[in-house]
Amino acid sequence: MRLLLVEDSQRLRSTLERGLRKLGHAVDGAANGSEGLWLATENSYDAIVLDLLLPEMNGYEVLAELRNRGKSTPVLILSAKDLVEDRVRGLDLGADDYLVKPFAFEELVARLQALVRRGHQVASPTLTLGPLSIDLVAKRLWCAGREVRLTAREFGVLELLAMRQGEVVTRQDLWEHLYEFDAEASSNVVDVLVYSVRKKLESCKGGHLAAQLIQTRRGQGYLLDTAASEEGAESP
Amino acid sequence: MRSLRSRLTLYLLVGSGALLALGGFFLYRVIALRLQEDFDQQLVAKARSLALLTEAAGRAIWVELPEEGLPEFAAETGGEYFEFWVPGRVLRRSNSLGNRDLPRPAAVSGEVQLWDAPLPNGTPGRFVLLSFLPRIDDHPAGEAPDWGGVRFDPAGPKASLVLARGRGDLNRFLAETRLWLGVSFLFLLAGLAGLVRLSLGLGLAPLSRLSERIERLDVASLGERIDPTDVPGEISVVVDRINDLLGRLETSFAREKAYSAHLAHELRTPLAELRAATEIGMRWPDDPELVAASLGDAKAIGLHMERIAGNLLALARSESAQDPPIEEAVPLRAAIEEAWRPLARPAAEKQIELRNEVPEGVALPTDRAKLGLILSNLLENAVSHGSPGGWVACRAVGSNNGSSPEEAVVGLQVINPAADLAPADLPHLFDRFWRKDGARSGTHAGLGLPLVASLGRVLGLSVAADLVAGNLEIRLAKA
Repeated sequence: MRLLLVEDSQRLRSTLERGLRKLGHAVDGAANGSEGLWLATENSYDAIVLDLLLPEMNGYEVLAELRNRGKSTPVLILSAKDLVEDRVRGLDLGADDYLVKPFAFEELVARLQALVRRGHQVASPTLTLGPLSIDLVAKRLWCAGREVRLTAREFGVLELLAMRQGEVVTRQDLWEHLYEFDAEASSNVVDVLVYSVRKKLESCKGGHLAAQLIQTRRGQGYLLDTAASEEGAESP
Repeated sequence: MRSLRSRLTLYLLVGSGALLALGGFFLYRVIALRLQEDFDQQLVAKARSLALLTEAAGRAIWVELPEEGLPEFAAETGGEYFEFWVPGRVLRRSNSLGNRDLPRPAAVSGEVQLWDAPLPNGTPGRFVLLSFLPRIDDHPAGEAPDWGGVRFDPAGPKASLVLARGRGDLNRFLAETRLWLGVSFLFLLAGLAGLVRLSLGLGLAPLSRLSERIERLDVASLGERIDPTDVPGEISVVVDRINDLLGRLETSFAREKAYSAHLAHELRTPLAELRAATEIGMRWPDDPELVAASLGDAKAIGLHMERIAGNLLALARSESAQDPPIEEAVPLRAAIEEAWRPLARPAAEKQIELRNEVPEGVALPTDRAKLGLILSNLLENAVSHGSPGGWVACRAVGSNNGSSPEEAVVGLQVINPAADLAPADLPHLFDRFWRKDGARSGTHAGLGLPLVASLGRVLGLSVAADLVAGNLEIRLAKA
């Protein structure tokens, strides 16, 4: 998933960026409220981690402005302010979650994943799509009961397609889900990743059908459709 | 502890009671003396009248007293007695006395003697002894009368009369007077007690209200003030002082609360950084680059927390006056250069130049170590917050606010460009944990300038900040 981290502590920001990237997420960082608001407005993020005490614009102002601009990106407030009124104010302004510093990195990741799932209206952390079973928390994939090892980016492709199953996901969406704001765009990197995922799925038992789950819609993007796979299974 | 009202009541009642008792006693004494005097005058006058009835002629002496006209002497019930005598012989007794004698003093002194003694009938009586010369009808010139064998000699012994009268009425009257005075005293005392209680109750009511108001004060009501309009002049100063104190307490509590919140926040951020860095490093132990970065972060965070703790400790020491200043002549230019030395590298990276405008040989009488700490904080502040290519200037402050060599040096001034600061920020510059944007992004905890202010107070230096043409001027000078 693609995340925006608005945190004025340079050390905390870089540490979290490091950890989240290591988990396969694309992370953009902002050191102040104005920059954070601009990035959140200009890009599409799966979730935003927002500190409250920020230079230039504080977190409350960023959040209020974001919601005023119609942006519904899930926001997790990450702050040292632990008073009930601080939390209530943040949630009232449109935050989706609130985590007090210091925090466990695992908890932050779990809360972000829960927020993203909720954003895609996926309740369970494990998705079963035909022969595929995808653990969104552990970032693991099973195909016909056998684990298929994917890289973080390959899993990111499958994760977004799975969460938006039955819906065409554009290459741009996939790119934005996988790469940071300042990453150099490459025209076919998404296609290469999709190809790689399909290839790994084919290697499992009944993998041909599994690979067919990911369909290419020319000029539009990709679609993960379990119905198409079932039709394919019925046809000779 | 007894209340003020009880004490005043007791003191006023004891004082008033003593005065009343004393007044009653003197009044009684005056009445008693006056009555006694009247009684005695009447007794003596009657004795003199009786004495005039004594006549002497030749050898004979007698008392021409028709007792029928004096019923008080007729019988014992009359209550009065008399007895005439000349030396060696009783001339006459009253019928009331019968054959008895009236007591006489052992020695006759003077013409009139008065004393108290029981009457022959046993009741209290008043006696008067009168020594007198009886009226002499005729006797040969130069011949002294002879009274029953005793030659009369006008210069010799005289005739005597003892007259006694019962003083029961007088005693009863005096006893009644004492009784009424005593009863009046008690009534007056009781009335006075009620009056005192009432007066004190009314008079001390504002004090009671004030006491109740103060009793209701607690941490939650520090924002409230006692209304001074209903307060008597005598305690208005107390109310003013209490209101002042409440104001100071409110400020202190608010500062303390803010301090705790700031401190907790200040520590939470590096703790969050430390926890995230270590958790991420431990999660991927086989990634040497990530582990090294995490360890590097952990060390930097540790140093940052160490600096916060050090500044807090220095601030606490400075405020508790645990470390009194040791004054000496500190060469100012050298002290500035010494404080700049550890900052030279970060300053060079930002191309910030030090302008040490203090002339050689100028010394400030102060504590060397504390001045060093002040300079370090001021210069570090200037370097940390200064823009690249900036400068920081240090100047000596003379006794006439100038810097001529003739003036005695009383302080120093540190100036640096501060484009981000606004005049509204100046009052907060010396607040603990204050930062321009409220963020915790920098490596500073907002303790440097509060420490400078605190150390300045310890050194007897007044600390002031001003913005002049976009430059922040911090001035420390002896008041």
